Amino acid sequence: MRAGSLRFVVTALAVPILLYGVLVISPYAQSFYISLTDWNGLSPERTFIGLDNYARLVRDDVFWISVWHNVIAVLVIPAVTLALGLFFATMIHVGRYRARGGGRGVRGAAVYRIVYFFPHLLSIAVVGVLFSTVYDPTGSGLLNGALGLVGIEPVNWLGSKDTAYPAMLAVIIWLSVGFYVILFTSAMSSIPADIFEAARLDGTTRWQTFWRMTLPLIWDTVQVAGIYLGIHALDMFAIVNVMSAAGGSGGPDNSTQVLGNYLYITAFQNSEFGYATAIGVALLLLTLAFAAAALRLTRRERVEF
Amino acid sequence: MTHPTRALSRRTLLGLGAGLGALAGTGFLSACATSSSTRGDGASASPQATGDPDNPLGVPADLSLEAIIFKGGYGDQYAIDAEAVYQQRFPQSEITHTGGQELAKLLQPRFVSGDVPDIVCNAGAGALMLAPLVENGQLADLTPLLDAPAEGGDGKTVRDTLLPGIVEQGTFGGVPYALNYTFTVHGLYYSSSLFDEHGWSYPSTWAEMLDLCQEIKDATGMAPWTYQGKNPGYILTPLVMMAIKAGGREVIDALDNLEPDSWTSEPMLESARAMHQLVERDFIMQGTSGLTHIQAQTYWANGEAAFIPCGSWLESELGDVMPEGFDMVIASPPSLTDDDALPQAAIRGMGNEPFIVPAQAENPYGGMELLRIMLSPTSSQNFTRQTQTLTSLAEYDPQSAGTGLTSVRDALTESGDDTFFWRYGTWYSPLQTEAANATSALMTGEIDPDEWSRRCQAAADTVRNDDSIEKYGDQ
Repeated sequence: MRAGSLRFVVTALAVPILLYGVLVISPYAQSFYISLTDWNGLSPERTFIGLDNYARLVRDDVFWISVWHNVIAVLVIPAVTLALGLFFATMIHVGRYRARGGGRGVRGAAVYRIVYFFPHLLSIAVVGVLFSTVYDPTGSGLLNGALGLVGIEPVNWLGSKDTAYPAMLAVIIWLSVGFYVILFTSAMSSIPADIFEAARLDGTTRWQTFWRMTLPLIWDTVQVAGIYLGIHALDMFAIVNVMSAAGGSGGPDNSTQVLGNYLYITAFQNSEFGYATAIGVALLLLTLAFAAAALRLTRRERVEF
Repeated sequence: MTHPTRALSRRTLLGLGAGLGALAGTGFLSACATSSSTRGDGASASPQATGDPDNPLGVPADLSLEAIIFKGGYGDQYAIDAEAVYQQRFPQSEITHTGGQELAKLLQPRFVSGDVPDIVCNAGAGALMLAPLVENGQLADLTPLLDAPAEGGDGKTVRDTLLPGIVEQGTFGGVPYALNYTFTVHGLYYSSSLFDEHGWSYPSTWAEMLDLCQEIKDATGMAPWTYQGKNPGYILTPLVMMAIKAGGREVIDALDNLEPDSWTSEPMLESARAMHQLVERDFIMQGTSGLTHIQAQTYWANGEAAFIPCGSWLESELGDVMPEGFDMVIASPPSLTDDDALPQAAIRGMGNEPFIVPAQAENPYGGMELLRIMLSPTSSQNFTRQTQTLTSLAEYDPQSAGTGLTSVRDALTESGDDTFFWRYGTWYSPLQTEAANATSALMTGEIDPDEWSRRCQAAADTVRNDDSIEKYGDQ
C-alpha cells in the first residue's frame, strides 16, 4: 500500500514540479546568472563581470529613487485601500444587518456592490489613458475643471514633481478598492448574525462592534488582502509606464520612477539587459522581504467561530 | 513570431541557395559565414558585380525577403509600395512584410537567436538601440548599397544622390551601418495666418522673441509658447540649436565628443538663460510640463499657444487636427546675439527613420535592393504624397506640398550649407535622457541655468568616464 501511495504521489507531482522547474525555477536561476554579466540583450554573447552590476546599483541615484517610490507605494496603497475597502464594506453590511430587524438596508446596497467593482474590470492600460485625460493640466481638464468650479487654480497633476506620483497612487487605489469591498462584504456576511445581536443586547456601540468584533473575525481576509495589495503595489510598472510619458519615462525627472519601469527602460531603451536583470533581482529580494515582514507583523490570534 | 512552416521554407530555400551557390553570389555566402556574429564582421564582402543594370547588387532572384517596418505617423504603405516593385523585379521571391511598433521587443529575441529579417525600419519610441548592435557586429555594412548606381539617378551612385550628412549620420566608427530614409528639419512652428492676422512677424533675435511674446500675451491672452512637456527632449532641441548658432560648430564637436566643458560653455549657458526667460516671464502655457506630445500639439493647433518646437514630421502627425487655413510654417529659432557664428536661418536638418540590414540576414542584398528602390525619385514622391515629409534623396520634386512642407523646403534652401546636426543623443542615450530631464526641470523653473548646465555636464562626464560605453566621437 505504502509503495503504491508513493508511486501515486510521485506520478501526481512529477508534472507540476517539472513545469515549475522549467517555467519558474530555471528562469530565476538564469536571471541570477545574467545579472552577473554585461549582456546587452541583442546577441548570444555575454561576459561574466562578477558583482559589477550590483556595485553600480548601489551608486545609482535613480535606483534608490525607484526603491523609495516602491516603498511608498507598499505603505500607502495597502493602508488606504484596506481602510476605504473596510469602510465601504461596513457601510453596505451594516445596512444589511439592520434590515433583518425589519427595516430597509442602505438604499441601493446591491447597486453599490456592482458599481464598486466596475474599475476592476478595466485593463490597467485603459485606466492609465483615461486618467491621463482626467488629469489634464489645463483648466479644461476633467478634474481641474471640477476644481475650477470651486475656485481652485488648475493643478499640473502629472507635470509637477510634487503631485505626479501621488496622482498615480490615487489611480491604483481607485482601481483596487472595489474588489476589496466585495471581498470584505462577503467575509462579513459569513459572520453569524446572532453574535452581533448578542453584542447589541449588551449595548456595544457600532465603533466597538467594528473594532472588537468585525475586524478580528475577518482578520484572515484582511491580512491576505494586505499582502496581496502590497505585492501588487511593488509592481506599479503598468500605470507609471502608461501615465508618465510615451514609452514610460518615469518622469517628470524620475519623480514617478519605480523599479519595474526603471528595469524596463534599462533593458529596452538602453539595451543593458545585464544591469536590468540586476534591478530585477533587487526587486525580487524586496518583494520577498516585504512578504516575510508582512506575514510576521500581521500575525494575530485567530478567532474561531 | 516566426511561423514554423515559414522557418521550414527558409531552410529549404537555404538548401536550394547552397546548391545554386554560383548564382547566389558572395553576399549570400557571407551572410552565412557571419552567423557566429563576431565583432565588426558584417556582410562587408562586396557583392558579385553582375554588371546587370537591373540588379546591380546581385540579389539572388529566388531568395525570400522579410521586411519589418515601423508603422508610426508615416504608416507603412510606402514600404509596401516599394515591395511591390521588388516583387515585379524578382517574381520568385517570397516577400514577408510586417508593420509594427515597439520594434525592440519584436526584434530583440530574433537578434539573439540569429533568425533576423532582411531589412528593418528601426524607428519610433520603442526602437532598437543601434550602438550595441554595431558593437556586436550584428549590422551589415551598407557600402555596397551606397556604391551601387541609384535608381533613376542618371548613372550616379546612391551615395551621390543623398542629401549632405545622411551617410555620415548612419556611420559608426567609419562604417555606414544605418541609412536614414526621411529628412526632417527641426525648429519652431507657428501659424502664418494667425501671425498675419495680428501683424506679427517672426523674430530674428531672442530679444525680439521676448518682445513678441509679451505682445502676444497682452494682445490676445494666448500663451506664447508650449512644448511636449512629458517628452522634454523636444524643448531641449531649440536650446541646443541656439547655442550652436551662437557658438558655431565647435559647440557641436564639444557635445559629440563629450568634452569637459561641453554643457557649461558660454553659448550653452547663454542659450539656457534665454530659454529660462520664457519661464521667468511666464510665457509658457500653463500646465505644459504635464502634457503629452499629442496634447501639446493639439492645444497649439487649436490656438492656445503661438509657438511649439518640433521636427518637420509635425504636419503629418497633426493630420486632421490641424484647422482649415491654419497655415503652419517652420522657422529656425532666433539668434541669441547680434554676432552669432551662424546666420539665423541656419537650421538643424537630419535624417530620421533609420533603415538597417542585419548582418546575419539571409538576403542582405535583397534588403539593400529594397532600400535602393525606396530611394528612387518615384518612391520618394510617393512617400512625400503619403506623409508630407521629405526623403533623404536630394533634388527630387515632391510635387504635392502643403504649407508646412513648403516652409521646410524654403528653410532648407535658406539654411544651405549652414544646415547642421549633432549626434550625441543617438550615440549616448543615457546622456540624452538626463539632459532632457534637466531641461524639464529648467523649464518648470525648478532649477536655474547654472544648475542645469552642471547636471548635463555631470551626465556627459559620467558617459565619458564609463569605459563600458563605446565612444563614437572623433577624439
